[in-house]
Amino acid sequence: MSETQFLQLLSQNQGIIGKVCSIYCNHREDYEDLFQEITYQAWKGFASFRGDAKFSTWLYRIALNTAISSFRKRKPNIDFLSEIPDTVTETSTFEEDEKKHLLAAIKQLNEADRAVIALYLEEMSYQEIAAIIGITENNVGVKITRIKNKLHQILTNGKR
Amino acid sequence: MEKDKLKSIWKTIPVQPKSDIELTKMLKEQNHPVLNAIKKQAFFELFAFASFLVCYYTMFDGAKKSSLANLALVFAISINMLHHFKGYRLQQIFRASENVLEDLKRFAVKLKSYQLETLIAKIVFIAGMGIFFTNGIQLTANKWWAIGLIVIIFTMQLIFLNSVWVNRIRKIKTTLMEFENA
Repeated sequence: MSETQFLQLLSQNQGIIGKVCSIYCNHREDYEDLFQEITYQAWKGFASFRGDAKFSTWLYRIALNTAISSFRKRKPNIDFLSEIPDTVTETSTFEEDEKKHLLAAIKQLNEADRAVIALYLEEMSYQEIAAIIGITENNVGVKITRIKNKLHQILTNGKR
Repeated sequence: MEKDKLKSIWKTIPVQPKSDIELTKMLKEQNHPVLNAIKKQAFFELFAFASFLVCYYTMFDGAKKSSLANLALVFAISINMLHHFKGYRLQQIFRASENVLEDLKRFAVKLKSYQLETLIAKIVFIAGMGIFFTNGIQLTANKWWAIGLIVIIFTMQLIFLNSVWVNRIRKIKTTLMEFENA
């Protein structure tokens, strides 16, 4: 497949990369570096994409893999959600707070749990999540229940 | 916050869209942040090594040293240059193939082997340098002290370098365990 086809698919699915970067990076600079790294990895592996799975599923796998295996400098947690003026529509402060709180809560999870919950929040089935991560569907179910409870606890109490 | 509400909030989290021009730029190797950093360091070291190899024979009395000492020096430098190239390839190769868990396991194995090769390359480097510079000279007490100091500094550097790799590999292994445990 050509670069044009790849760019078209990437452009349509770039939100996936953005979301993965948002949950694995604490700093704007880290976010941009990881975004670049995932895009490059996806392009390098695009020849191996045979279309058996959806492009979005494939891209999620590449994005999570790259995010977990890349070596990022640990920097202080800076909220950069408010630094995205281009896409922020006129939403209420309450809604903005909810988004920030959810992202902040996900970032408190360990790296594996962040991957699982991101896939779950993307409306993927247990079967799809199991295939992307490489664990059993049963394990996915148990993990999601546990992670949701943990998130609920963080969001209501503001702590783990 | 209700658990079911999480999905709807997640969907509204804004992501700054990249233009096609920005995305096209990201496909180029020269814009890759990690590869760029490795490339810069490798280029600097390669330049230093190459300059040294060009002038060591006359400036550092290469002609007066034994063939074995010259060979040891060239070998030590070559091994390090090759090792830099391998580090670059490790970052450059496509890392995802089957699933996240399997790919991370493979990556951890590759890192472990790279960690060992890094240590070997550094030891070979200092040994090659040591053989070359001590060859054919009278080793006085002061020179022995100097060599001892160099060995201590080098060992500390090696321990630090190793701990960096151990931490990187440990991080990947921890995530693997987190995935496997329910």
